[in-house]
Amino acid sequence: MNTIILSWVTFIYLAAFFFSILKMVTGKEGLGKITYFVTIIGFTGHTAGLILRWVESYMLGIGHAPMSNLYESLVFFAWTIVVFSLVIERKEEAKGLNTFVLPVAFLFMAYASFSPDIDTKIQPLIPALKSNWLVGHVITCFLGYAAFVVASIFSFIYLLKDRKKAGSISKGLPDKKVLERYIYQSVVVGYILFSLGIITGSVWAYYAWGTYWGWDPKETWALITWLIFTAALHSRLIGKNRGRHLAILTLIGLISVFFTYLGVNYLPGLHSYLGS
Amino acid sequence: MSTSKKGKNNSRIWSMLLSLRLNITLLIVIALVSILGTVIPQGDAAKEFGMHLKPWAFKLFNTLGLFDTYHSTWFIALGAMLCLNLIVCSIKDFRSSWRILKKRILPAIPRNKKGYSLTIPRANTEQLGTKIENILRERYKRVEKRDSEGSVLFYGEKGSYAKLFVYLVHVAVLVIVLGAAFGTMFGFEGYVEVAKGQYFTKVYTKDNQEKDLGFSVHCDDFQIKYYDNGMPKEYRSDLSFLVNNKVVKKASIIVNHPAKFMGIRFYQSNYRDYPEASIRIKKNPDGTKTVKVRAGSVFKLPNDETFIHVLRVDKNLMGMGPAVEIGVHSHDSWIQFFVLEHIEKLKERIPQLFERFPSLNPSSFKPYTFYLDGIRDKYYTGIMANKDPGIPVVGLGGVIIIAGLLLTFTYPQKRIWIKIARDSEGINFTVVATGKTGDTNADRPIKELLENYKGGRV
Repeated sequence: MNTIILSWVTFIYLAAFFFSILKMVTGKEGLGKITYFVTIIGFTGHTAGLILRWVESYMLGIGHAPMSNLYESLVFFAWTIVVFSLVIERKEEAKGLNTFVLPVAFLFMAYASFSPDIDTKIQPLIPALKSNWLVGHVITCFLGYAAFVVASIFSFIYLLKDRKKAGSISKGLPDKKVLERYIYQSVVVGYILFSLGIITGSVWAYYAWGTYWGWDPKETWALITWLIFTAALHSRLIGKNRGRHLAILTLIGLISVFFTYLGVNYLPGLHSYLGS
Repeated sequence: MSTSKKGKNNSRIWSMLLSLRLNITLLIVIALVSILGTVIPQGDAAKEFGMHLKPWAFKLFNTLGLFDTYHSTWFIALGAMLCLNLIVCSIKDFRSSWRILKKRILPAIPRNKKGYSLTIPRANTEQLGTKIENILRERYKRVEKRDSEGSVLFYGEKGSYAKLFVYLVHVAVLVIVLGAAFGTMFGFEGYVEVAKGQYFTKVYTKDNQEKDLGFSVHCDDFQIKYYDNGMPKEYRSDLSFLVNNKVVKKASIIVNHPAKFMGIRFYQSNYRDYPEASIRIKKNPDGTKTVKVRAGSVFKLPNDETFIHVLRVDKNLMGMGPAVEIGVHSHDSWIQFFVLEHIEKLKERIPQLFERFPSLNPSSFKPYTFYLDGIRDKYYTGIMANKDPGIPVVGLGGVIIIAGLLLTFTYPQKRIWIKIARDSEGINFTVVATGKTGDTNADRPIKELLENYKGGRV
């Protein structure tokens, strides 16, 4: 049941995306309101789907938070991105940016729901995941990832506008100064949450694997991501082209985020249960 | 400002830039080289990987420490450089921040900020100045006015101590590194495999060193539970801790729930199945003897100089049922053959079995005959025994880093500079505002005031 709701949510986000494109092209305020309304409907369904999945797992007698395999993590990832999208939508200056955020949420949901490689069944928890730290660790990490994804989308737009011949696409979007501020704010939010994610992960690892840091590939990639965003935050303190440096480092950070999240499934290590 | 002072100032700024640049470079370099260890198999996995490498490549990897990247000298050196840079940068930066805060020095207008500039041909600077000051007093905690030759500078700031919270984060990073180093130096990570009913008094570290625990641990039971779909649900080892042969503590460990005894933590790590074979050895007329062995076992025949090596324990050898492969080492001879549990049935089915397959003959080593009485699973629980005295330090660092990050990024702080000077076209106003997250809004009230004034609306 939950998977049916969640697959419908995919199309609601697609619809919201189309409305936001229409808004961008025509510039009509009403379409913006419709976009927001449709996104809210999608988000409500999304949240309901997640809760239902949680409840269903308890009915199966293997109750656990829906954050235990690739399908659940993709759906949750999309959910966190929509959380940020809703925050952005409420900011007057950031109007138009959501057109770039919504398709990302849609793609995650579409991949989760319709890829033949992904098992959507509710699985019981393997012993390593049976911990009170699961929920806190996953929530902080994914909110962090989502903030970094959002920051990267802004960075991409920033770099588009930064070219000498800024195309028509950049019309109607916030100017570079505003974008830089949004990139920085998103990176900061992501950095705090992701740091919390690493620390909760360390505490969990200490109880589960006996060591708070074991240089497992996922841990190492998390550190790499953290180092890159540390550099991104410090890059603001030097040089003239601060916005550009921040944007470039954020985009490099995004690559690292995806390696941390998915890439390490193809490397040997303790976190590899995500692959199933 | 005299030239020499300016020069000194410049060199100071330059050296700060230099070290901050070094900091960012180091962060990125460490990020990049860290990738190596996630691509090249490390530790135990490296042994197998190493065998597939060409000798020169193996030598190169080994010399560079790429099989244990994160403990290699150069990696640690990079980390140490980053820490050193962090210390130097932080001290220098902290001192200047502190001095500005304590002496209430008026900080210079940041050079890297462009700010807002407006020139009004004719203005009553006196009147405008009062208005500006009033706006600042409403919004900033500390407001100052400096008059110098031909120009006036207004300065406002709020939450300036927030600037110091970032040093909490820097200190926390160093605390974590210190705690980790302390733990590595004075702690250990050990591993041991033990079956139900057995005990251990020492564990083995990754580099195969024995660590004496100073007490003994008895494995009372080991159990695996499964879900209905066959996935593992729980691994549990019931342990008794004995000092001087007296049980002092009993504890069950499962994954995520370790037990602690005398400063050492015991973790349920994994388990292994080493099938155990029951071999009966018959020698006429001396009678029989039964031994329980697993793959890799070596035992001696009674009253003899003969060693039996158990090479393989197989629950189903090529469809012929349970089998054990043994090698008999007697003086200078070596005989290798299989002992099958169902050898009698096989002999009935296949005529002249031993003539055709001599290695299936259990009497290959005369005058003995070997029988296999069965193979059963024997589970060994894998237990990690770790000691890390650095944990409280690292934990403290973790708490400080989160507190520091939250304070650094959420504690409101803002500054504004307004410079009024005469230029060729009239009176020039320059407004530079900084805040924790950006500066597009902070200068708005002043901007509005000036624009309204210029437009004659005031």
